Amino acid sequence: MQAELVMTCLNKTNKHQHGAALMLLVFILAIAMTSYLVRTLNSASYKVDHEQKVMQNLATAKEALIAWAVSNELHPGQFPYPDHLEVTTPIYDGKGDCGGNPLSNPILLLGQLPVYGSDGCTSPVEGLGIDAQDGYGNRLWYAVSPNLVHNYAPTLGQLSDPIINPSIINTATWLRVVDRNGATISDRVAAVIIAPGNAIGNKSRSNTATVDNFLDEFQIGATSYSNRNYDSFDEDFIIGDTFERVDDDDATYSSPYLFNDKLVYITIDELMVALEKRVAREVVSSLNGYFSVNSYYPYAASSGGTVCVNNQLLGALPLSPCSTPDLSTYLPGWFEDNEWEAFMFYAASLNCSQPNPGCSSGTLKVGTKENLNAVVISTGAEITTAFKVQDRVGSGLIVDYLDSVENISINEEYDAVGTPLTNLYNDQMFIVTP
Amino acid sequence: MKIFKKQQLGFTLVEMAIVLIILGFLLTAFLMPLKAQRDIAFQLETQRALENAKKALIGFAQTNGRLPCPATNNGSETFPDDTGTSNPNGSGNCILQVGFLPATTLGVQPVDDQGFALDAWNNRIRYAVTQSSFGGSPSTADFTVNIATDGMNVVGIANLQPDLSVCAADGCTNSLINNAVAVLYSLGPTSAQASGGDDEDENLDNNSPFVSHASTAAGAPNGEFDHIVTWLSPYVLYNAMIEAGQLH
Repeated sequence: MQAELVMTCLNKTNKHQHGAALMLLVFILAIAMTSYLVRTLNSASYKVDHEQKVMQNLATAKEALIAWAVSNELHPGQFPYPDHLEVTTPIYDGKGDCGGNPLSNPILLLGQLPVYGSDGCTSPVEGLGIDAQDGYGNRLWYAVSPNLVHNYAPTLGQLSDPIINPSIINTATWLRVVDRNGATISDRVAAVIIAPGNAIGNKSRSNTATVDNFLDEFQIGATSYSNRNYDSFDEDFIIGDTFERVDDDDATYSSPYLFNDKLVYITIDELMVALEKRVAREVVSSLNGYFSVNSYYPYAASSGGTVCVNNQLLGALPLSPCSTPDLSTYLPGWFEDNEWEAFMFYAASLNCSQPNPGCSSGTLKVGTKENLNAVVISTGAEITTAFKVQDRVGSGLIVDYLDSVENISINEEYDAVGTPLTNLYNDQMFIVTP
Repeated sequence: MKIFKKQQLGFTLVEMAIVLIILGFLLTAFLMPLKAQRDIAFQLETQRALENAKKALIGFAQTNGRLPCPATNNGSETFPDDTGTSNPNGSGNCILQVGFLPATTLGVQPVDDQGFALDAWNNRIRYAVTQSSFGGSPSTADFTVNIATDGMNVVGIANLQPDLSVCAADGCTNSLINNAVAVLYSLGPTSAQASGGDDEDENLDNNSPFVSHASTAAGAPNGEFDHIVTWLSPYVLYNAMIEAGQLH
């Protein structure tokens, strides 16, 4: 009897359930799965966004650093000192710390990016004016070549301010950037900017943390590659794979592989192209200042020289007078200190020279622009390739300075402003007036 | 027997409560990231708008040799107007040093029906520009004119001294920059509400310094802060203008 009753009840229960509980369960499971998927996708998309942001910040820092150096008021081309742990209160304060002799102690030039200002530095004392971080709350790190900073403790024969002009591209030793296999990507590196990434391994990022707790290294065989060292003028820095993309059993590296630095670099070539523009603009401004006082443009010096030659309308800038006063008093002091006169070509129209004051109508032509009064060409560094060799030592030949048939022909026509630069052509044209 | 039958017809209240609680948890877990994602998206969109505005300012300076004055808004639709246009006073100085981004002048989008640039919360983007004068005509701001006797190219890099400051907190013991050329900022998601405290006050008093830091809640020492602030570094501007032949 009791069994019958139970069966009846079960039958009735089955009839009335219609699978509602199952549907609810499925519904809950669906929500749970959707929630899980959304979280997973969010996390992946966050990672991509984050990486993008880091690279964007590195690019911003690179732009700001080049801009800082190019627009350096008193020493165009000089870079700021990095921020080190303060001595009395050991923190990174965001201000560049100047002092010492970087030629004998290059490690002075590895530290955090000086974003806020500087301590004990000569002018300019301002920071980069950006607050770029790596997305994990870490400031960016930075290393610069000793060829591009003020020396606060020069020994006998060393300069406080290095000479910075296109000649150093070929004559100085530069930093190296290597890839994940230790192969050189560039050996003409003026500065590197590094995003340290999240703390991995046994790193501890307290206020007082040293460089080892921020930057990484890895080992291939017996060779160690490190972003933490700076021992020589050609120190290498690494663009490596982040540890998340390297398997534990990767045969290339000694285990454990703990590397997540991200790096961008500035080559001396890209710095110099930007710097030449600044210098040429100063020359243009000086020539205009000269004209506003004298009503004509000065005669030029011979190529490779600085002494003005009467009636010479093209050549080097005249830093000593002839029948026309020299230009040097119109130029900023750093111009001759850095020997930029050896890298600027100048031409004036006869109609704008001493016999024709007032300059009614110039006769020079740059690209398609005609009736120009005067032009300046930044000649760039000597080109020494298998296809072209320039040797400016003791040379007065225009061909050793300028790079195209149009520019070296002794006439009044020159290549267009903005003519693309190549490894066989590094002339940059600037129109003085109109 | 009757009772037994009734119990089998549906869920008990306890069962329903448990299911609803689980559902509640799941929905919360599902919706919270969506809200957070939406907030982050708005923040990112505003940051992008500010970055675009910065690029537009640099482009304007490369073309015109100067920066634009802020747009002003007096509700009169006469000059100074309500059209998102830059408003200098005629001699190159700005009617207001701090105002709105002159979207009409710069050609940036999106804008409201009066032409003012908007952030992701549809609030107007604020803009301040330095009015320092250290060369050329002493009474004319160097950065917002480009005339024969004054302007950035007349004064030259060595003499330009932009003077806007952005600090990490009200009181400015820690200056993030003290030579900014321009400051751009959004008042964030709570723009319509009253100032959250001292730090937000600094960005609403229409003068330098400005304050920038990560968002803080109402209980923070300087109150709630959700402004998004960026600025234009002088060096970046100078280099861009040198590139364009507008500065020596």
